[in-house]
Amino acid sequence: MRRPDALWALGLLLLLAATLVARPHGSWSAQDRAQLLAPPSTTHPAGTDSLGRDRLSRMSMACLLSLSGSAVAACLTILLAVLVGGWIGLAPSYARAPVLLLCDLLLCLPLLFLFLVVRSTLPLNLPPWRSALITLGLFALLSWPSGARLIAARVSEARTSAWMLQARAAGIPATRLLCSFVVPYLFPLLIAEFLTCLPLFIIAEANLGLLGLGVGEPLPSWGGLLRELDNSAVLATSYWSLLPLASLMLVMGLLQSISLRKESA
Amino acid sequence: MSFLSHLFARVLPRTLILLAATVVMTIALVQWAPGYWSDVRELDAQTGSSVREALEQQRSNHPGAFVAAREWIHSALRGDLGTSRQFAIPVSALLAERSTVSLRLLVTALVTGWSASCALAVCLALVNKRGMAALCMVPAACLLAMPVGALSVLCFVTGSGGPALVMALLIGARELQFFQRLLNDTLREPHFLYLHAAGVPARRILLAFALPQLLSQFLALLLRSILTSVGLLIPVEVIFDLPGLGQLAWSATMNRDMPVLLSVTMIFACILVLFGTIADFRMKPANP
Repeated sequence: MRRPDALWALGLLLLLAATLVARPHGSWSAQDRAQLLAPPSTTHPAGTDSLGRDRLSRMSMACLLSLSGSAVAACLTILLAVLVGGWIGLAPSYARAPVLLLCDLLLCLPLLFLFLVVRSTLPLNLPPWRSALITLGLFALLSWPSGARLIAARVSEARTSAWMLQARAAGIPATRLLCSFVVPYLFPLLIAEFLTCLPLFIIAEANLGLLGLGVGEPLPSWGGLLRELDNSAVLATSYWSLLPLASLMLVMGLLQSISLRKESA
Repeated sequence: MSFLSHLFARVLPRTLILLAATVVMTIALVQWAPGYWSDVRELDAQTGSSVREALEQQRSNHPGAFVAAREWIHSALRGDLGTSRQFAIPVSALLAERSTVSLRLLVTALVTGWSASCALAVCLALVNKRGMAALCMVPAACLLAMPVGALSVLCFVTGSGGPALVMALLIGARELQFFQRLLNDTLREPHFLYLHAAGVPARRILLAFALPQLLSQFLALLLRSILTSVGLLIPVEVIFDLPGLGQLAWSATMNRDMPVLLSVTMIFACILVLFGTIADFRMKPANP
């Protein structure tokens, strides 16, 4: 699939999710206690979960929340990576050493292990929105080092390049140099970094949610919805409980095709 | 700078500083975590005020992160890793028992995943049909699009595979993409195209020339693969209830078992630093 097609498909998927959340019976938190684990019907097209909540609305809301939250976290990661990477690339070696040590410190543990340990040491009995903010904020705070190292290499490459020397010799002010030359020079790297972070955060949130450390109930997230798979009785009676996993795989597939297209371009 | 002087002048001091910083960071994190200072005796209504005061005093006398890290490193160097808060047995005994399980799982998964993906990539390179490659890449992409936890839960609930299979599938899917790309790029190099045009059979080009050329890159990939699979251990072992290091790390984190968590963190950090450094050294001749 070509990149614009995958982007369009992702956009359409988000629009569809927003429409499904906004429809009359589309409340993701309303419980219908008379219809626990109900099969698909006109009011609940994908059936209901064990608390009688509409599965389709919850999946749509989870898609919106996980995707937008991960995108915001990825942007924050890149912002931190640019700041730290810029500092490493431009600062003198004595000022660079402690920052590099911090980078190495965060890189010397498996990322999922780091997320698990840090998230579990933070309070777990939080309101749902706050738990979502903490989980996604944590991703941004712990994932910047690899990006920062790449950006630092690119910045020091730019600093010593012939075009930079020429631009400085021509008397171009530092602000214009930064906005007109350095940022466009770094932009492809930032896009690639964003496309790496986004699926990573979506998958990490799903894994944390499955282990009970992700976004708190009743707020739906992919991780939270995938916990339903843990119940073999639900899985045996309703294959609709696989719908969140299918939607997650679809989104990940679209993101992967966007990345591949970008890489080959 | 020679390999040994680089190792002793730069790599070793950096590694030691990193490991010490990891100990301090872990202790600070766990001490800061809610529930670390709580004691079950405080929940008992019959606990007297003197006991409560003693507990409070014990808490206030507790050393800070730096002092605690220094004490832990000192005792760890003497072979004493402390006693588990949750299991009440020496941490070294716990680690010896659990690491065997994790090591067996890692080796099985790596051997299976690597053999399958290597064989498939070589077959695809020999067949050289785009349709076949796409047919194999779709399931690999589907596996990579699935969280490791979800795949483990599905396999566990449906009884269709064990932890080794889950890890082997994920490792295999990831490596297949790398192998295929690596082989494709290598076989497009001018000298291989020349051999092909000269009528040398594809199998001979691949087995006698291309694969030996790729050996150092394969080794670097294997080391990276080990690092990735260490990260997969936690969700897989927790979901399959396998008593390995991953599950131990998980229970230590949830139960604020500082001695165990410190030891497991150190093991993970040592594996990552060691294999990461070797991979960097291996990559240099391949990609100067």
